[in-house]
Amino acid sequence: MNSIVRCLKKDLLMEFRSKTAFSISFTFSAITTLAISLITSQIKLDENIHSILLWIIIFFSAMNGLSHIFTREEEEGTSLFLMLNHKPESVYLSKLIFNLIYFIILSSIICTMYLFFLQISPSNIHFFIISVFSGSTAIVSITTILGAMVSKAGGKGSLLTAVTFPLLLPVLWTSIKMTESSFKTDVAPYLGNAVFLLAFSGLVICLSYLLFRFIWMEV
Amino acid sequence: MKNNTELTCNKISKKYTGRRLFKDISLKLVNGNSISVTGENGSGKTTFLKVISGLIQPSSGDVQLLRNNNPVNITNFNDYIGFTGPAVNPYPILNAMENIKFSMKNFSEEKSLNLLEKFNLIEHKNKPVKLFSSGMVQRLRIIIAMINSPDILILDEPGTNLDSKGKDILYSILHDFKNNGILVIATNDIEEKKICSENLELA
Amino acid sequence: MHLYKTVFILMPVSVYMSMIYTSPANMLGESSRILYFHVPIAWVSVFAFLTAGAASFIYLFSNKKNMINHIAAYNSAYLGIIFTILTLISGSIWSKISWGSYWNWDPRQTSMLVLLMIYAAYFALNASLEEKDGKEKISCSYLIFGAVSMPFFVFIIPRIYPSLHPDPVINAEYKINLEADMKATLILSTASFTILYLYILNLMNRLKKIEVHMEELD
Repeated sequence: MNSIVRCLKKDLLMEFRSKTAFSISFTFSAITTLAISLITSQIKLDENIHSILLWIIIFFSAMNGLSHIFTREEEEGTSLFLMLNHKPESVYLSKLIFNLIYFIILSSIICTMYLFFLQISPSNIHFFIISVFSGSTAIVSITTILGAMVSKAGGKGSLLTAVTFPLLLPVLWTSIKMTESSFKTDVAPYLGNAVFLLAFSGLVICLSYLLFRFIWMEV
Repeated sequence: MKNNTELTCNKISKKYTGRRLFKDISLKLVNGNSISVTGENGSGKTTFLKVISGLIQPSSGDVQLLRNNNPVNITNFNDYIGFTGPAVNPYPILNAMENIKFSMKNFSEEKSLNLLEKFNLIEHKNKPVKLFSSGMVQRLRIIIAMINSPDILILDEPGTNLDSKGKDILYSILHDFKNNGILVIATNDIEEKKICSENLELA
Repeated sequence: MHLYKTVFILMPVSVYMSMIYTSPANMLGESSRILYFHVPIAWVSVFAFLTAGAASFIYLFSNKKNMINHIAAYNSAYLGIIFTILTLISGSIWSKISWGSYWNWDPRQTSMLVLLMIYAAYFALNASLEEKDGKEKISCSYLIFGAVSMPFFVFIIPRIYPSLHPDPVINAEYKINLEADMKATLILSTASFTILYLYILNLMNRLKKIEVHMEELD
């Protein structure tokens, strides 16, 4: 526990000092949202198109920002230092918590900007928030562990997207459906999808907790 | 009261596809033992140290750590081993004190200041590590390896980049340490080799 | 070992049965015979995936890291990607005949495509890792993730979304709705394709083991 707190503190401190990861992914998502709203400002889009566009932005922002926490360790050559001082399990949990906090903040910024620039408002705001939150949790849980794998391969840029996308497809499908129904007035919110997403994240997190040792260490 | 520690290697070998580093090394170390590991560049000194500190799995054979006759699981080796080497880099963006805080199990201000004082880093303790010279980084590495009072100290080329004053500090500390704990040094430096009572030559 | 050799008898028998012995299905006509190849191949591609996941699991969690398990995982994935491609090809031929177009974004077609993507991602990851990074362990972990999320694609998604597939093998009642001769042929054909897969897998594993052994002799 103490060890997780120390790791998390270190990651937060480093992020506050350098702000690289956050500023890069924030700029990326801002630019994508603006580009989309510029292009589509003259057209009236369906709810499902809105939902798909929103999740595409969220997906690519995740690809951009979430593996950074591991690739930074490899790039700066500090992974051995981290390995020596902390157990793989606490490293994993601290990085997961960091990514969760980080991505929830990022995706709420993305959503606010999206709703603002594209001039739409979800008819069921609570359900919209739930859909974004549960979808982001599932994305974070998968991307964190796969980011750790890819960072060992030298953080080759597009590899993370290639590796993550097929595994994230059910998450994206479900999230898109949920967000779409939150835009519609005539559809009753169905919470089963949120339960599916959270259960999926739970499964992935448990599995990652067990497997992280093999990815992180050579033992 | 010092713990009774015993590190045993049983016929360990390590190879990567097409390259064998070392083969069938057996060795037993108890408190008060010190050993230097020598060999040409590329003979696998660093890999050997990583294997005995539980960071890498050997291709065959096994490494055991006994503490007061209780076997320690290989995943918990780091609790009792202080390891450092040129590949162990402290976080450049954090300062010396934050790096120490990060690696210390139960943070004690007094102990860290004491060690920083010994290595003459006390006036740099709030400076980011990226502004350190390579010799200063090396001093910090050794401080961090010793910060949790390990039973076993495994050092890979501890004298690199140190000036003569730094080496003197290091040697005196190692002399103190080897009386109670297990000391393993990988080096090709004659002075460092002299500190240890035994020598293992990797061919 | 001799069990695998039965494929030399079973395979011709199942080809004979599927082409000549069984009567063509009511609606689909002669084209329905592709069923006896398409379904077994699809089954093998899923089975190969599960085998790869199981072998990876054993490799990672057994105390003694036995090289053969990770070799088996890799080879199983290798065969799996070939069978997946064959499934997609035979499926789209059948789809052209019975539904009129090669590709319909049918949930089952999609899930097979996703399976192919997971396999491809595995090989991309495997190729970009170096032995020093712990290549075997990382790629085995990825296969476990793949095998765990695979049921979501292959079994759950096609259930949720309406499918064009006739669902002859497993349907809501978990019964096989086929005539007796067709059923027998399908089962025999599935068995022979499974044994074919196991036979090739075994040969590949042995070959790789010999290669590793020869490297050690050098």
